Amino acid sequence: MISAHVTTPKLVVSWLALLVLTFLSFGISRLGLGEAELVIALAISVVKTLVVLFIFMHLVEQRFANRLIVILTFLFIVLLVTLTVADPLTRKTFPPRPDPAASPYP
Amino acid sequence: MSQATIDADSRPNPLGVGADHPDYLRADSGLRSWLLTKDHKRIALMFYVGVILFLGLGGVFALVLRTELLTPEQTFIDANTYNQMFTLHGITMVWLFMIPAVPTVFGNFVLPIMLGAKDLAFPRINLASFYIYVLSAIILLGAMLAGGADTGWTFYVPYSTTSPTAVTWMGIGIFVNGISSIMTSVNFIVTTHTMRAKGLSWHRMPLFVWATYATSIIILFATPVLGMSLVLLALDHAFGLSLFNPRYGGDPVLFQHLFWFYSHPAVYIMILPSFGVISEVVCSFSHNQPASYRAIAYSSLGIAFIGFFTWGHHMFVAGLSEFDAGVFGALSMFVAIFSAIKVFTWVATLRGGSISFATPMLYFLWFLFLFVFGGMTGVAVATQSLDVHWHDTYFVVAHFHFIMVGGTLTSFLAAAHYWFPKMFGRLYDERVGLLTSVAVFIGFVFTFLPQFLLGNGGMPRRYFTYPERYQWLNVLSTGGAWLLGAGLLLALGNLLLALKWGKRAGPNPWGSRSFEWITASPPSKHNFEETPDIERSAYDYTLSEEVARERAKAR
Ligand code: HEM
Ligand SMILES: [Cu+2]
Repeated sequence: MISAHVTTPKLVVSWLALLVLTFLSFGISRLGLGEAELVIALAISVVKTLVVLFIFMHLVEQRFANRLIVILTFLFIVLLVTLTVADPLTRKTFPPRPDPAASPYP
Repeated sequence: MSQATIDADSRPNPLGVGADHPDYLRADSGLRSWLLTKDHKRIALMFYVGVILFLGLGGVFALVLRTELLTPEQTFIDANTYNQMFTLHGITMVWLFMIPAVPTVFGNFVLPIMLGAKDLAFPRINLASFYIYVLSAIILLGAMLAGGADTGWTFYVPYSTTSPTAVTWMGIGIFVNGISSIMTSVNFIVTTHTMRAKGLSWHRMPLFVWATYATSIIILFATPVLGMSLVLLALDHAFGLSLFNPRYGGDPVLFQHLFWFYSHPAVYIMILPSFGVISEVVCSFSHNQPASYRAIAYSSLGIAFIGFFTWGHHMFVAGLSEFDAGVFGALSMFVAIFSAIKVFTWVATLRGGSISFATPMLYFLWFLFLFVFGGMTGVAVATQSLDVHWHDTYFVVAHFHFIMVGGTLTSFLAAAHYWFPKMFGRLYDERVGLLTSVAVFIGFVFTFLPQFLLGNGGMPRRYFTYPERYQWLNVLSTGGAWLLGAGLLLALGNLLLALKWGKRAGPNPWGSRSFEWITASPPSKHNFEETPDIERSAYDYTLSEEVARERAKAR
């Protein structure tokens, strides 16, 4: 069942949108936002990915079963990122290394 | 049943569906007809030649390693050569043999026939997949000739980014290899979804199809991550980008996360197709339906799924946080559930069956032993407190060889014997088959059992010399390796001889009910002249063969 058609004007508009987003992420990298920069850059690339998938790769025309693949893929990335990021966030030396300055003469 | 007594001449099409057409080997002739073929069966044979070649090459590397370890000091190669050799051994075996072997050879050959299809969904992509595999092999071999790599197959940073060896090219070669395996899996998935014969519902499909289907899903999700990590690594190595360098905000453990996010599932990429082979063999040679079809089918999907949640168990002592280590340790244990479901179901299938101990069945027994032994040691190493002792010792080497090599090799050999009559229309010599099978098993056990003891006794892996006290176990292991090599050569010889001198097989020499045995052996070019109409499950041993074939025959 086809719910939408990808037409040439739509392709052009999405292409322009991709260009704008690319310049946007470049511009933001110049602002020196620190930590937030990464989050924004990732958010922009997620949007770009979706545009490519749905418009250029014609996913909007597909039935749900085929879109499911994209959803699953996304969940897999979530899995990879969550457990990977949980690692540095919860790292600590165990047992805590004694601070040499606290008791210089054991 | 009365139909079983019909004499040969009045049987419906006694030589199998399509027997009145020339078989696929003879349908076209000339080198060109092979190199440009789109026939899944011919592509399977080309892959067959490739994977056997690389099994041989990897085997030679292995024998060099084992022979070096015969004595505590240097035996005949120097330390540098040794490092390159175990890297080459690992890379060849993992990416050029174990991952492609069963799917590209037997999957390619029998999957479409099992589904009652004339070919895979994308025959050209199938051929391209073969050439991309060849290309990756050329790149890897080129890199080997250009000095190889000395990082081990895991390419851990920071060493791999600074190693002067051909790490970049190895990375590229494996990347290209990944493209080939992704193409094959897309082909399998689409074929399974869209090209099943009339009446062949999901719950009638042969279990081998379920297994390759589950494998293809893992490949689709995991392989891109490996490709990406190796590209990052290659960039690091070639241009010094320092992506994993803490000085520039990187994290060396991040590489391990990325690598194992692929490579733990990859061990299931290697073993799941074997499960498929084993399920077919068990049912065919006990002439019985599986104790629970759904348990075997769904546990493949369960393994595919849970395999993605356990990668961190490779990093317990790499600096993984205790929190993550705990999570990964616990999650790893779940795999045992699904594996146990499979093992118990296979064993239960034997019950009440009429068992014939042909060569493939013998390989099933070896498989069962090696897989259970290897799997139990897996649960042991997934226990963190134990892994601190065993990590990077020969214990781990023994664990993964038992399960990976034991699993893939025995099932590859089981498949090679089981489907031999289908592929070539002839029978191999059964006595020699049984003999080589025993030799392979004994060789295998002598090679790897001592390594558990070595590792537990503290011998580290990847070392080229060792203290005197480890010698006797190493000698046992090396002796075993040579026996294993000899066994494999004998098996190959037996099959090669049968190609020309074997007895004619007939369409279904094992009396199996799986659908690939409906066609003639060897099958004609298009497998079936018309899409067959499947009226029974793949393991319906209640119908006589003739009735079953008559009903399933193209109408
Ligand atoms: C199909 C089955 C399996 C295969 C093919 C397999 C393969 C492997 C391989 C190749 C390695 C070594 C990687 C390396 O460092 O070079 C390994 C290590 C390991 N495996 Fe398995 N494995 C399997 C099943 C399991 C199971 C069921 C568990 C746990 C429940 C497990 C737990 C582990 C752990 C914890 C290690 C790391 C040991 C260490 O390096 O200290 N494995 N396995
Ligand atoms: Cu693992």
